[in-house]
Amino acid sequence: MVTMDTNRSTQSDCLRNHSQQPADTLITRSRLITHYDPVSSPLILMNTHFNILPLDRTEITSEAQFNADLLSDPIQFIEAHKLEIRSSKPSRSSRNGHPVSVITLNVLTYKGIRIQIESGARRTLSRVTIHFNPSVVLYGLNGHVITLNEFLDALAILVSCLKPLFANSNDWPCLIPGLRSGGLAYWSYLEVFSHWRDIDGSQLAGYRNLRHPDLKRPPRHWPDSICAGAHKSNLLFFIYRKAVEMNAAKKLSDSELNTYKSILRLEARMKNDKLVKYFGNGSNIDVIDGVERLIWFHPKDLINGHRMAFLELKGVYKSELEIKRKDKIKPLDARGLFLVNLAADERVPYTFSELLERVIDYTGADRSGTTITAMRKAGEFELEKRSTITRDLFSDAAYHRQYSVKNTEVEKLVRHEIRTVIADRLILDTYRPAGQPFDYSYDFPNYIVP
Amino acid sequence: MRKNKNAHHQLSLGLDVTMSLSTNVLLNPEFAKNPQSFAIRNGVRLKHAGPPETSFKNDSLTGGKNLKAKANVHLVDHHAIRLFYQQDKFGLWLKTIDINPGILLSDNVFRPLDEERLARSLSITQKEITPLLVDPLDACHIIPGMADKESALAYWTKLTYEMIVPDAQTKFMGKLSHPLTGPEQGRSMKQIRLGSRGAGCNIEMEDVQWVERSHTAYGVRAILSICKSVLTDALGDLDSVANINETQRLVGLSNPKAKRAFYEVMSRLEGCYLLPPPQWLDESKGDNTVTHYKMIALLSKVIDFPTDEMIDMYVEASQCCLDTEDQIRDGVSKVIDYLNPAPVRILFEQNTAAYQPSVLP
Repeated sequence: MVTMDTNRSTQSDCLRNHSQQPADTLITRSRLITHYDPVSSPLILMNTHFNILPLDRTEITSEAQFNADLLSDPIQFIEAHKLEIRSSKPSRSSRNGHPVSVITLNVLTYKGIRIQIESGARRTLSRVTIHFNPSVVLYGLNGHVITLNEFLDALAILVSCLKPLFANSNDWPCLIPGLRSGGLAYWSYLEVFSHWRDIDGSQLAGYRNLRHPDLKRPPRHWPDSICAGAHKSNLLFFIYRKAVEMNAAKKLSDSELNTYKSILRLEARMKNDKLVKYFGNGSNIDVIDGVERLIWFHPKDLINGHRMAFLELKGVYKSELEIKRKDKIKPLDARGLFLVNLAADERVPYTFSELLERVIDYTGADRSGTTITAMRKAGEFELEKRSTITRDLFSDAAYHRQYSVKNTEVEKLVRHEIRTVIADRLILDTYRPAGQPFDYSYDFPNYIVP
Repeated sequence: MRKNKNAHHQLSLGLDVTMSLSTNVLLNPEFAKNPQSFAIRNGVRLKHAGPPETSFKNDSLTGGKNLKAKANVHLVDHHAIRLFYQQDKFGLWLKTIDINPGILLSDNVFRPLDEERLARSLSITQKEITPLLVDPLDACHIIPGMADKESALAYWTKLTYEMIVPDAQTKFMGKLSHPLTGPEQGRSMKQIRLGSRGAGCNIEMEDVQWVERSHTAYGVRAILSICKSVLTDALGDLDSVANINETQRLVGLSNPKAKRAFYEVMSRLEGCYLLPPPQWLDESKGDNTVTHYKMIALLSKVIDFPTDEMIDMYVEASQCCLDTEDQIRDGVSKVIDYLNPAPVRILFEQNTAAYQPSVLP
C-alpha cells in the first residue's frame, strides 16, 4: 500500500529522476507528475490553456456488441473472468415498444462506474449507458477538482474496465465518444462545477435570488444549498457547500469539515441540447440518429460553458450600470424594492422571488404580465445593485485557482496499477488539446501504485 | 408510502398507513431459485419477484469472491406486502417487510383502518409469508409482538401515514415548521417538505389531482413518516417495547395508538393556511389585481410579520408623502379585515380524515 507521505517528491526530484530513466519510462513518469493540489499550493497558470477539467458525474450513451456469455449469464461471466465488478442486476424494460433485457453492472469495488446494457432480440448491437465519475474513480469521492491528466487517467481506467466485456476487445473505442469518426457514442449528461471560497456566506446568500431565462420555476432553498431547475430538466443549477454535503453523506469527518466548510460548489447539470449549446465549440458536435450530440470536449469548452451558464443568471451579479437617482420612484418599482427589503429581513424565511410568487398565487396576476414583470425587474435591479458577487468570479484566473475537498482516509483506499492509467493514443489525441503545455506539478498521483 | 402508479383502483382507508418492520428469519432457498413456481406449489399469492441484485465482495480469508444476492418481492398486490431478502453463504434471510393495509384489503368500500382491519392485515401477512420459511416455527418472528420479548427478532421500524386534504393547496400554506423537524425547506411550486429523509420524523405535502365522478378534483397529500427513536417515543410503553440487539425497539402496535400518534404529531404543526378572499378571484381585472394594499396585508399574514413595520418598509421604499402614508395604512387595514388565516394544523384533524376521496390520486 502506498501512502501519500512516502510517495511525495518534489518537482526537482522528478526532473532529476527523468535524466536517469530510459525514454519510454520518461513518458510514463512525466504522465504521472500531474497531481495538482491548489488548496495547499495555489497554482496560477496565466495562459489560454486550462489545466483543470471540473467534472462530477457524467453519462455516455453508445451502442456496442458485448460478449454473448455476459448477456446470457452475467454472474458466471464475472466470476469466470475475475472482473472487478461490485454488483450485477438483471431487469426487463421496453424501448420503442419492444421488450429489452437490461443488465446493470456496478464496476470497481467502490463507486464511480456503472454500466447499463440493453439488449433486445431484434438487435445485434446493445445500447449502453455508462455512468462515469472520473473524480470518484480516482479518489473514491467527488470533492476533487481534477486536472486534464487525471481525467485522461480516469478514462484509461474506464477503458480497462470495459474491455473484457466486449465480444471483441478491440471494439472499446466505440464506447468513448469522439474516438471514431461516425461513431455512435456521445456524452449525454455532464455535471460541470467550480469551487470558490465563501467564508462569510455572502456568495451562497447572493445566489438565493437567482433566475435563469430558461427556467420557469423559482429555485428551491435549504440552509446550505440552492437548486434551480427540475431534476428531469435539461438544465439544472445546484449551488451548495460541498463539504457539508459530504459530511452529511458520511464522506467527510467533522474535523475535516471545518477545513473545507467555506468551499462553495457552483454546479451546472446539463443534458441533451444544453450540452450542445454550452459546450459546443464548432467542431465537437456530431449528428447521431438525427440529433446533434456532444462527442468530445477540452477543458476550455467545459469552463466556457460553465461560465456562460452561470453568467446568464439574473438577480445575482453586481450591476455595472450607473444608478440614476430619481426624485420619485415609480409605484411598481417601489413594490419590487419593498419585496427585496422584506426578503432581507432575517425574520422572513422567503427570498425575493418566493415572496413575488406568493403575491402571484394569491392575486392571480399574470406571471409574465406587465405588473409582475416590472416588479421583478425592479427587484432584480435592486438585488444586483446590492450584490457583492462580481462577474470576475468567473475570470480565467479564478478558474485556475480552484480548491478541492479531500478525505485522505478514503483516498488512501483507492489504488490503481500503472498499466491501467496509461491512456491510449486515441484518447490522448481527442481529449488533450493541441499545444497543451506540460503540466509540471509537485506530486505523483496518490491513486497510482508505482 | 406513495403507491404504485398502476394502483389507481385502490380505495382510501381514511388514514392510509404503511407499516415497516425489520426481522431476521431464514427463507426457503428454493424460493430464490424460482419464486413463481415455489409460490404456486405453496399457495403463496406472489405478485412480483424482482430479479435479485448480486454483489461480489472480496473475501479477505480465501482471496476469492463472496456472492450475496438481495431482492424485493411483492405479495398479494404491488406494495400490499413487500419483502426484502438477502442471500449469503448461510442462507436466504428475510430482512424487512412493508405492509400497506389499504392495498392489501382493497375491498371496494370506504372504511378507516380500524382495529379489526389492522389485525386482518397482519394475519394475512403472516399467513402469506409462513410457507416461505425454512422453519414454520419462525412464523412468530414475522409480525412484531408475536414472540416472547426475550427471543424477539421482529420489531416495527417505520410508520408512514398518508392523508388527502381535499380542496387544499400547498401554495396557500405559509411558514410551516414543526418541533420535530424544524422549518420547511426546499419548497417547490407543488411540494413542501419538513425534515430530511432518514430523519426520525419527516412531513411531506404535495398537490395532487384525481378524477372523481367525472370531474377533476384536487387536494394536498400529506405524508408523515416516523421512525427511530421518534417512533418508540410516540408509540412505545412498557408493554410494547423490547430490547433487541441492545436497542429499545417497538414490538407492540395498536391501531388507536398508531392513529393517535399521527394526530398528535400533526397537531404540533405550526404555520398558517390562508385562502385568497373571493373578491380577489375576479380574473377580469387581470394584472390590476396586484395593489400595494393587498401585497402588504397578504404578506403580513402569510409570513406572520408586524403589519405596521411592513407598512414602514413600503413607505421607505416608495418615498411617499405623509398623506399617502395615511392612505396606505387605511387601505391595508381594510384588506386585513377580510384576510383570515387559520392554523394549518386544522387541516389534519380527525374530521378531515373522515372525508377522504373515494379514489386515491
